[in-house]
Amino acid sequence: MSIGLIAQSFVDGILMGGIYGLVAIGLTLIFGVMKIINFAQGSLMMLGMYVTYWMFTLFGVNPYLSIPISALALFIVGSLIQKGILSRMLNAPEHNQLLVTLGIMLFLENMALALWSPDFRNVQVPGMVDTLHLGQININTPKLIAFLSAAGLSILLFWFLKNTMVGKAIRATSLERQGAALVGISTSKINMIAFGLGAALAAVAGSLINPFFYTSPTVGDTFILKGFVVVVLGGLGNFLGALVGGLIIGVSESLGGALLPGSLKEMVPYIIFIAVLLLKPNGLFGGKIR
Amino acid sequence: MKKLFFLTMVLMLILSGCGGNNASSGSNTGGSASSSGNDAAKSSAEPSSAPKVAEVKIGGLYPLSGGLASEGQDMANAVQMAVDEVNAAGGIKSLGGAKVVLDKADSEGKPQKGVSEVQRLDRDGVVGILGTYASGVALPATQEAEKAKIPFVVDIAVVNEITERGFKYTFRIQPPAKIMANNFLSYISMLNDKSSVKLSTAVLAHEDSVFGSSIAALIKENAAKSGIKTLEDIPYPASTPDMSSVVNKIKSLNPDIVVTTGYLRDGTMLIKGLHDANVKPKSIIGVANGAFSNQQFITQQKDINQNIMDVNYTINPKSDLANQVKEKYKNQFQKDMSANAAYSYTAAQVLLDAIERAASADRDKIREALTQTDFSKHILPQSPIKFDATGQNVNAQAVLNQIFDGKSQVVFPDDYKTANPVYPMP
Amino acid sequence: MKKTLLLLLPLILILIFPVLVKDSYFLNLGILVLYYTFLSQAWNILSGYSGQFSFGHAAFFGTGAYASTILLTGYGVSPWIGMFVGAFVSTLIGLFIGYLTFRYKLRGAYFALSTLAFAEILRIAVQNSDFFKKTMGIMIPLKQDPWMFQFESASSYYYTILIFAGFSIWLVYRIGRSRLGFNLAAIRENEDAARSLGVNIYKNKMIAMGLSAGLTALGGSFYAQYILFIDPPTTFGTEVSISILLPVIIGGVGTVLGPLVGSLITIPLGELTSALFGDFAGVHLMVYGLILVIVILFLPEGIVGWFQDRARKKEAGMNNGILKERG
Repeated sequence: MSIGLIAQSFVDGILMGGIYGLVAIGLTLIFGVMKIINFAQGSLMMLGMYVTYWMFTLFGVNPYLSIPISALALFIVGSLIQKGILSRMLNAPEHNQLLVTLGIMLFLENMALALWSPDFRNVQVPGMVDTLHLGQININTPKLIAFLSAAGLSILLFWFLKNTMVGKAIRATSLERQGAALVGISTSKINMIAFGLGAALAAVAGSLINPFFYTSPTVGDTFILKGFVVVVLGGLGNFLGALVGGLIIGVSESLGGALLPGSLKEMVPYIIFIAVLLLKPNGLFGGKIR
Repeated sequence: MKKLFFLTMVLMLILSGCGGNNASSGSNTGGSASSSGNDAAKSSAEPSSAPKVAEVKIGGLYPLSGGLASEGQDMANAVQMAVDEVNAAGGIKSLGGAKVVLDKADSEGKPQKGVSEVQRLDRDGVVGILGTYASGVALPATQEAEKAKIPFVVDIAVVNEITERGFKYTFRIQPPAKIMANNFLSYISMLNDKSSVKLSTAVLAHEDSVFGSSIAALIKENAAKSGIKTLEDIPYPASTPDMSSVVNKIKSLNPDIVVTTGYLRDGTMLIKGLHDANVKPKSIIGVANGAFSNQQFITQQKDINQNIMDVNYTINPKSDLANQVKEKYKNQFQKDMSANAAYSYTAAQVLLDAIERAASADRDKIREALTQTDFSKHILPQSPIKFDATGQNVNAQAVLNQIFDGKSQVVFPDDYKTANPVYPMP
Repeated sequence: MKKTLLLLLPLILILIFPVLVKDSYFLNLGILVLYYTFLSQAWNILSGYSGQFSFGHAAFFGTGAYASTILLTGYGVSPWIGMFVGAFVSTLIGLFIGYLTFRYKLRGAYFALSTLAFAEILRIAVQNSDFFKKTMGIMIPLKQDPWMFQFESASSYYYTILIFAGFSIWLVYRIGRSRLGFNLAAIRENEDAARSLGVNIYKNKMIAMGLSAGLTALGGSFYAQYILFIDPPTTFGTEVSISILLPVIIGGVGTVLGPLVGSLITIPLGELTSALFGDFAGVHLMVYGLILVIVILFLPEGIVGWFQDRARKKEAGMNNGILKERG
């Protein structure tokens, strides 16, 4: 086991962790505000990937430039889902909320299958250098971009929640829904915006993942379980927690892959997850939007 | 409390009433179908079932939705094409030109669903079933067909045991895992014999379901006999978003040969990862690799896939018939015909040929005819399709393919080869 | 008199279903309905009655499936015995999971996702263990011998699972009227209030967990003997956990008949959508997903819950009427 292998694994883990964090940010926002575990998040991400794919295939739009489009499209889809379905579920028991999002997931996944066939699709970013070499260490460029975007996005969101009216209203709603309503915040509107934002974040994640991962109707399944683990690990509703949680999972998985035989590395994130929960039942950084 | 109990009971009554109605009407239709399991006696009572059949139904059990849907739909399309061809040529002649109807069934890649779909097909009165792609579905589905006495021609499903259970109604076209593994080992010995550079160490990287694991296990078991030393086998889930740990492990082990079994997405990521990490094994050989024999990988990843080999079931490159079929498929479905689709197409032809020879829509007679199969007008790189006592296509074999300049060529065996192997990779 | 008749009729129908229906497809549907009734009833004990929403019952299901299968294929032990060994092991695993999660007071989403994590850990462990044949799965040889839990006729499977399902319904009915049931309901409604009433929360949750885990394992053994092939994803996978809880949520969580009614709806519905739209890949699952969403939107208490609600309201209305008349 050489130092080089460990270092390379560490770097790969950090990059992958950023991507897990990216997927988890939208999830954690939605949970923070609406207290809903959104199973459909992976499918929303998948829709974002298809937007990017079609923009590229039909109009030749660079995948990174299509991010605003996919974000906007999914913001609308997300708001509509919230308004039409989830707004009626706010006070429903947890298992019902979960099952509704599961139903939405089933619907979206199979809609994509029926509309766009199950084929695997990929985009090739024109003029993109795939790898940077830093001494012995290789850095995958699309993953690096995704990682930096994840970090940038969580800082941006942090700022947005602290310094804008809507952001403050979102935080107020997440802390105390009735109290927020009492001081004149339209919580139903805030919920819509929050879910829309969550969906848009999923789309951004999808667009950023697109250059290194094939798009298919079931692509969301690959990320969703890890997304949950990351979100809970960081504390439900906590962005920086989501990012740090993502990094922990990414690195531990990657180092596990280098050191453990077989596919045992798959087990590592779950063991860390349970261990952290037992020691800190609200996740690493507590469970409030911040 | 009593009242609500009463109410729920009423509901149940209504529900079970509905169920009962459906069921009884269902069993009626089941009974009237010409050959449904236990009513052999009835059919013999009917006016002699001489060639007077309007249509013959066959089933196609594939994963049409879920993670394997891409392959499943290609395969179902190919079967449809074979059926349409027979119908266009006048149907089943020995049955007075009976039309063939394809009854598609979606297994969703789930064993349980596979079983219930076989039962549904049984009800619908199919005389034979084709399928299934996923081995996990093939095992219980063929078993259900065995119980119902429906001939089941497996096109693709790799696990050895499918034809090793003493079943009478199961037939398989594809070379099973052990033949794939043996073919790989004999090809590698052949390559080493011919080459001045002998490659001897290998890492097996494979997706971790039955498909990849069964092939890898057999290779590992017998590699020493071919002078190959397996340094490690690395299983990974096919849906993984991250192949970097596999790549890093390969890099640190530095094997001569990377042997890999997987699907399109993971296979592509592996090759990209090896390329990006500047890992240059002297040979990369896929075994039944879903990426290396896929047109999407072969053409789109031109820059990084030069000289990659794949031991795989495939379409005969030297057959004119095969080229016509490929072209037709592409025109019809706007997609290159995959090897999976070619096997489904062939399986359908084999089943239809058996129905023609049986001159009957009776499942047992069709099974009987299948055992006598000697089908040489096919598009596969092998001698005539014949089944042994276990139902396995005896001449099934994988060939050695190699990618040159965005095109896959057969490099061995000589009968089918279109180019010479390049080994080790320069 | 009429009431007992109405009560008896569905019971009789269920009992003679295999006599009425000879068709193997519909018989299989009946078996699946009862099978899911049993499994979601097992889930109901923990998650419905005590409100601890488990998302990882595949852990118990897989344990049962693998225990009886390994004992059968490796040691020739009849699954009739093996399934109880599986139930025992599964109960231990359940208690272990319960010990960790309940001791540390994980609730809601945290509890749900940690059960999911345990199931995944078990799946990966099995996938990496030679003893469990890794990812190759285990095939049970076809050998139709009732002593080996393999029947020639589907109706024997039907009656076996009918006994399982009947037992589970009876058990939940008894629990509902026992001290345990009251304690669990109190925990579900308000844990702190229950504690102040002197309910031993930890102990009651553990009992529910143990029962639920053990029963689910029996379902796993039945699956193995019915399909005769098991592998890690189809026994320990997340999809298994979802399929176990789906019927009871549709039927009514925390009700005695919810699992049965839910299975009577969801299983035939799945078959119906795939029979109607099966030719258009994806469409049948789209429709299924849509119906799922609609049912939960409009019947949030599940079907049985809805009927209970109505009955309660009607009763209240009738009482008012009586009072008025008297007044």
